[in-house]
Formats: sequence, C-alpha cells, structure tokens
Amino acid sequence: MLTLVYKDLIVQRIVILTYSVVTILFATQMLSVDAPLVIVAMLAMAFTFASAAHDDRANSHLLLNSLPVTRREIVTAKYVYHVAASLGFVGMAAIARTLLGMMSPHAALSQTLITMTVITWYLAIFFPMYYGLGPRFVQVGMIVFFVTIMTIAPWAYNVAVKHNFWGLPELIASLPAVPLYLLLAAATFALLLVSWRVSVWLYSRKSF
Amino acid sequence: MEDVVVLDQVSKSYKDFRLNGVSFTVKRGYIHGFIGRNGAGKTTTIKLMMNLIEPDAGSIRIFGLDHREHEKEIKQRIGFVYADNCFYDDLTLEAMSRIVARCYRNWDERAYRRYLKMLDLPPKKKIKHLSKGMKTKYAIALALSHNADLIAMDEPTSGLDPVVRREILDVLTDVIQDEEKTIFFSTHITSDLEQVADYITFIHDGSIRFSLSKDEIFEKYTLVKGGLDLLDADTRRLFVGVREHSYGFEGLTDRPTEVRRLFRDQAIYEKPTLEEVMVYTIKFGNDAARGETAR
Repeated sequence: MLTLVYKDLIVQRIVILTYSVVTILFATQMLSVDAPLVIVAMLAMAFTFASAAHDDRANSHLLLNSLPVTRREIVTAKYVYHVAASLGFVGMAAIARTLLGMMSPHAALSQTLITMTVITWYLAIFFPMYYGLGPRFVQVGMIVFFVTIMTIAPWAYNVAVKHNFWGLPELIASLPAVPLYLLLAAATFALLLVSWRVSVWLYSRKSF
Repeated sequence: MEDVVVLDQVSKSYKDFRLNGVSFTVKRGYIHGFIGRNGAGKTTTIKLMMNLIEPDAGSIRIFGLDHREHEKEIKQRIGFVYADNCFYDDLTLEAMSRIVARCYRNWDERAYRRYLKMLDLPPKKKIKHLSKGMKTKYAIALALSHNADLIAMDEPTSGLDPVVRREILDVLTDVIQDEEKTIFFSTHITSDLEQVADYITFIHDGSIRFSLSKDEIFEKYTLVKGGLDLLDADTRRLFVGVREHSYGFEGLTDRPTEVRRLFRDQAIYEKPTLEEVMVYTIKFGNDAARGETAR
C-alpha cells in the first residue's frame, strides 16, 4: 500500500511542488486574500480533482490492477495519499503563518483541525463519486468545482460574513471545546470509514 | 506437463459481444500463441485472466489457484505486456521501474539492467519520448525482470516494424530456454507465432475454434488445391473453408485422409500456414454447409 502512495508522490511531484508554492503565496499573503486557509482548503480540493484527472489520462487503472496489489489497497492508498497531501498543504500554510507572526500557534492548530475536517468530508464524498461515476465525474466535477469557487463560493462567503455566520461561531464557542472536538473527530472518522468501504465496493466491481 | 493456466467455460457478455464458454489450458515451459482477428475476444480473455474484468460464468485457475481469491499471489508471478502503453508518460524509464520494482518480491535489478542494455533502452529518457516499439520493449523488460513464471502479452508485436518484432521474438525465445517459464502471447500477426510458438489457441467471434500444439495443427489441417469439377455438395463438407476462383479452388480441410482418398492425385496437398488456417476459417468458413459451429 505504501508503494502506491510512493507512486503517487513520484508521479505527481511537479503538481505537488506547484500547489505548495501557491499555498505559501496565499498563506503569507503575498497573494492577498481575506481567508487564506479557506483558499488553501480549496486548493487541496482542486488538487484531488487534478490528481484524479491525471490518473484517468495516464490510463493508470490498467497498470495498477495488473500489479500485485489488491483493489482494496489501491483505494486505501488513494485515501491515505490525499488526506496526507491535504494535511501537508494546510499544515504548511499554518506553520508559515505562525512563523511570520500572522497567527498564534493555538489558532493555527485549531484552524488546521477545522480545515482538515472540512477537507476530509469533501474527500469522503469525492471518492465514492469518483469510483462510481469515473472520468465523467472528474470532467464535469472539475468544471462545477471551479465555477463554484470562482462565483458562488465568494458570494456565499460574503453573505456569511455579513450575517456573522448566523451566530454559528458564538454557538460553537459556547459549547465545551473538548467534547465538541472529539465528537467532530469521531463523526469525521466514521464518515471516512463509510466512504472508504463504499469506494472499495465500487472499485472492486469495475472493469478495465 | 503441468497446466499453468486453466480456463473452464468462461463467459462474459457485453452489449455487442459475447465470450462464449471459453475453455483452454496453457502448459508450463512453452510459448502459447493466442490468435484471432481484431475483436475476436483475445484482449477480453487476457483481461479476464488478469482479473481486470469479472467473468459472468466459468472459472480461471492460474498456477493451480483461483485467479480472484489468490489475485495478489498470482500477480507476483505474472509479467504483463499490453498493446497500449499503460505506464506514466511523464516519468523516465528509471523512475517508472523504481515504482514497479517496489511491487515485486523477486525484482532482479541486474536482470532489468541487462534487458535495458539488450533492448537498447535509455533509462534517463521519458516514456512519452519513446517510440511505440521502444515502449513495448520497455514493458517486456519490466515483465522479465521480476522472475515471473508466466508472461502474459496482449498483441505485443502489433504495429511494430519487422526488426523490432524480430528482436522481441528473439528475447522471448531466449526466455523460454528456462523450462519453468511460460509465455502466453496474443496476436493477429500469425507469422510471429509460426516462428516461436509451441501451442496455438484460435478464437473467433468469442468462441475457441481450437487449442492445439503447432504440430497437431499442421497434422490436422491440409490446404488442398484443385479444379472446380472436384467440388460438389458432398465434397464441400470436407472443408473448413473453400475459396473458388476462375481456374479452380483452394480449400482448407481438417479431414485430409478422406480428401486424399477422394481426390487422389487430382489435387495438390500443401501444409497451410497459420494465417491460411485463420483466413479460411474466418473468411471462407464453411460452417453452414457442414452444419456445425465451433469445434
């Protein structure tokens, strides 16, 4: 399984490097944006689409499924790789902002956890859709994703800011922090587990 | 002789194609050719063996193991070569081989280097900069570098020039000197198999027509040439396929003794090529006249 993660690292090293540079530019406000970590989260999500499109273009399913690895391992490696890559991007942004004094270490940690939770939910939806619908999902999904982040997302974010996120931050702040984080972590883990099982089932039924 | 691959009544249906109860075996230590025209079911059969598609019915056993239950173990012992490039175009040969090498327990780096040299492959070059022939040679180098017991190849010589084809056939002939190795090789270029194969399986329209040793094929089939006056409804039934022209006929028979007894020295009898066996069966096929379908 680690071989497959290594494979993705080698195959996509240029893409990873490019996304890392863009992440740093956004995180350090060299490219000025209102919410750098939100942008980094979107970059991480876009990375997933780019990676899936690359796999389909390279016809890699034929190669992978001819190597001595199981389909379960192929799917598991994808989850591990993308969670790790997303954590890398978000972590890199948080560390850069902390080192430059733009964020306290405590805020960096909590924002990293929240951002990673959002990304994980996204991955939990992305992979079953990808393994179920295949390249068509990647093509259509990429267009929908980019149109969304270019048009709907900024508008929705501004509306949310205008209404102070409908009191959600205060509500969260009023709840006990530790049980809340534990509950969130458990829900995220459960969602990821269900998503992984569905993806393995879908991928096992595929023909190449 | 041990059977390395056993396909038993394997079927797979698509909207416009059906693989129809395919059964044959591949014996250890030989080159086994798999012939048929484009779209006959060669690639589907190889994909079924590689567990890239799931059969609707039947069983596939490789090295005596169920190909689905023991997939990982079986694939450790199979080297694969596909007609289309399935490697990452942006990687160099060296980078790609590092990935593949990590997947196999018995990866032999020295053998890999030897094959790169033998096949004149530049390790620093990106895969996208290789010609089709070089990509195939690279796939063969990878397939042969982890001590695989079975090399499964789907149309490896298709679209290649005669020099590269010869080079590939020479490597395969060399590999088979080790009696533990088996090569299963699909192609529609029958002349390649005539040079190297020991066994031939012929598939047509999703059904196996025959699976025999090369010697058995040439014993079984005879090409007959004679005048049109020799042909009537009864004698036509003796032929797998007949081609008529203004100055006579040429026919492929799988009942040479009967034909010789009937025609004696009025006809000429020749050993057919594999291509002739294939063409007469497919193009000039006499199934309807003989009242049979697949044999």
